[in-house]
Amino acid sequence: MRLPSINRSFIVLAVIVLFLILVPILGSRSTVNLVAEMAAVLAIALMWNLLAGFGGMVFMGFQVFVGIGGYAVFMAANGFQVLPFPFILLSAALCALTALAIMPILSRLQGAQFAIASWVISEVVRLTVFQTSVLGGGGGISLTAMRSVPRELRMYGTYGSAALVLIVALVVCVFLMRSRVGLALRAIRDNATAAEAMGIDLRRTQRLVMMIAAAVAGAGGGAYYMLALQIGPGTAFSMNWMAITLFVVILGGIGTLEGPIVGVVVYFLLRETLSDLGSVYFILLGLMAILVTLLFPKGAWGGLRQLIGQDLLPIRRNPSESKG
Amino acid sequence: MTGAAVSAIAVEGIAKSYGGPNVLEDVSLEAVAGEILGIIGPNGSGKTTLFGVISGAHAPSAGRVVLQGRDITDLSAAERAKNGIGRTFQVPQTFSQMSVYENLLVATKFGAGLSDDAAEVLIRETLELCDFTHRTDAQAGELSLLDRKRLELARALATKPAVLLLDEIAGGLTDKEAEGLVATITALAARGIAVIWIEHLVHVLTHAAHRLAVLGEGRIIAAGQPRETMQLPKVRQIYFGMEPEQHDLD
Repeated sequence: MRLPSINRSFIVLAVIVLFLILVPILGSRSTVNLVAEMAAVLAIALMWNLLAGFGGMVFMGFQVFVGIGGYAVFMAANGFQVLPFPFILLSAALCALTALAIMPILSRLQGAQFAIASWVISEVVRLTVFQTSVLGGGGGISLTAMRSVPRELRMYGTYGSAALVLIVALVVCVFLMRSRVGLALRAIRDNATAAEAMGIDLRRTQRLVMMIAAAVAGAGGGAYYMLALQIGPGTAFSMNWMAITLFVVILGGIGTLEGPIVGVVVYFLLRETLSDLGSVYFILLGLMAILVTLLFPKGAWGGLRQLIGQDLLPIRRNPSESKG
Repeated sequence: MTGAAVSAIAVEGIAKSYGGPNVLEDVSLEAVAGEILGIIGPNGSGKTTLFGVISGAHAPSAGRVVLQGRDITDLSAAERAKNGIGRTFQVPQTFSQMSVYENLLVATKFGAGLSDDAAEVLIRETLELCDFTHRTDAQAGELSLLDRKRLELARALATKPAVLLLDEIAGGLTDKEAEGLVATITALAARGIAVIWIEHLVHVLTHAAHRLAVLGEGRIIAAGQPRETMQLPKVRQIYFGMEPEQHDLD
C-alpha cells in the first residue's frame, strides 16, 4: 500500500517517538543508556547528512559542534551547580552562533577546500580549549553538577535530553527537506550556478542550514557528554567523531533521511557485539563499510529501499504535494 | 513583434576582463519587449561572457545593465532572476538529482516567487508549452542532452522572465526539432518576452530573430536585420572567414 508521502513520514516519526517513550519504561539501565547514546549519535549524523548529503557542504570538522555543545553544558551546569539538562539549549545557541561566525569564511570555499577549512577550524578550537585552563585544559572537566543528582534522575534526564534532541533532529530534517529551504538546498547541491540563476540566495540558504545543523548537533554533543560525565578536548573535538558520523551516514545511505537511521543501528550492533575483539573490530568495521558501499552504492538503505519499493521518509516533491 | 517598443533589457558600454585583456569591450545592446535578438560570433568572441554579465554571474569591469529602465548592475544573479531575467546555459545545468517537476518547482518558487497553487498551474502550462508533460517524474540527470536542453528552456520560462537568455539551445537538434523550437520561441516573444539568443546555427537565427548582433573579439561589429547583417563584408570576414553560401542563411 502506498500512502501519501507526508503521511508515511508522520507514521515513521510516530513509531520512532513511541520507541523512545517505551525504552525507559521497558528497558534495563544499560539499554536506556545505550539508546540515549544512539539517539545523540544519530542526531549528530542526521545533521551532518543535512549539510553534506542534502546541501553538498562536506563539513569535515563537524566535531567542533559536538565539543562546543558538550563544553557549554558542562561549564553552565558546573558554574551554577544545577541540573545540566536544560543547558542543551545553550549548547544549541552557542553552536548556531559559531556557525554564523564561521560561515563568512566557509561560504567562499567549495569542495575539498570547504572540507579542509572546516577541519582546520575544528582543530583551532580544539587547540584553544586545550590551552584554556578555565576549560580544564588538556585534562578536561567532569560534570560536577551531576554528583549530587540521584542516579535515576541522572539516567532518565540524560535519556530524555538525548531523545528530545533526536526527535527535534528528525522533525527538522523531515520538515526542512520538504520545505522551500530544503528545495533550495538540494538545488544548490546539484548545481549552485543554476540555483542562483533560478533566484536562490546561496549564502543565505547555506548559512541558515548550517546554523540549524550546528545547533542540533551541539545539543546532541551536550546530551552525549552528559552521559559520559567527563569531557576533554582530545575526545570532544576528536576526528573519531567524523569517523563515526561518516560510517553511520555513508554506510546507511548519504542524502537520504532513512540512511543514517539504518547506519546508526548497524554501527551500534557491530560495536556492541564485536568491540571486545579490539583492533580486529576496527578492521571488520572498515571491511563492512567497503563491502556495503561496493554492493550498495546508495548505502544499506538503498538496498532496503529496493526491497520495500518506497521511501519511508520521502523528500521528493510531487505535483499537488508541493507545500512549503 | 508588435506594439510600441518598450526597452526590456539594455547593456551600455559593457567591458569585462578576467585580469588579462578585455573579453568584452564597450558592448552596448538593447532588446525590446517581444523582440528576438540573435547574437552570433566565432568561438571566444565573448557571447557567453556577455550572458554572464547580463544574468549577474559575472560583474562587468565597466558599463551597466538596465532591466526595464532600472539599473541592475549591482544586483546578484539571484536578484536578477527574481526581477525577470531567465536563462539557459551553453552546457545544460539542470538539477540532476531532482525530477523534471522539481526543477520547475525551484524556478516557480524562487524565480517567479509564486504560491503553491500558482506554481502548480505555471508548471503544468510550461510543461505543455515545451511538450514535456510525459517526463514530469523523470530525474533530470537521466535525461538525454536534448531533453536537458528542453528542460532548461522550460525551467527558465517557469521563472516568468521578462527577458530570456538562450545560449546555443538549438545545437544538436534536427531541422524538424529546430523548427519546433523556433515556433516555441516565436510564441514566447509574441507574449512580450524579450529573447536574446546566442546560436551557432545561423540559419535558425536568421529565421527566428528580428535583429541580429555580431560579436567579434569582444566587440559588436554589426547589428541589424538578420539577412542584411549577414551580408556585410566585415561579418562575412570575421564570422565565416569567407563568402557565406546562400544555404547558410536558409
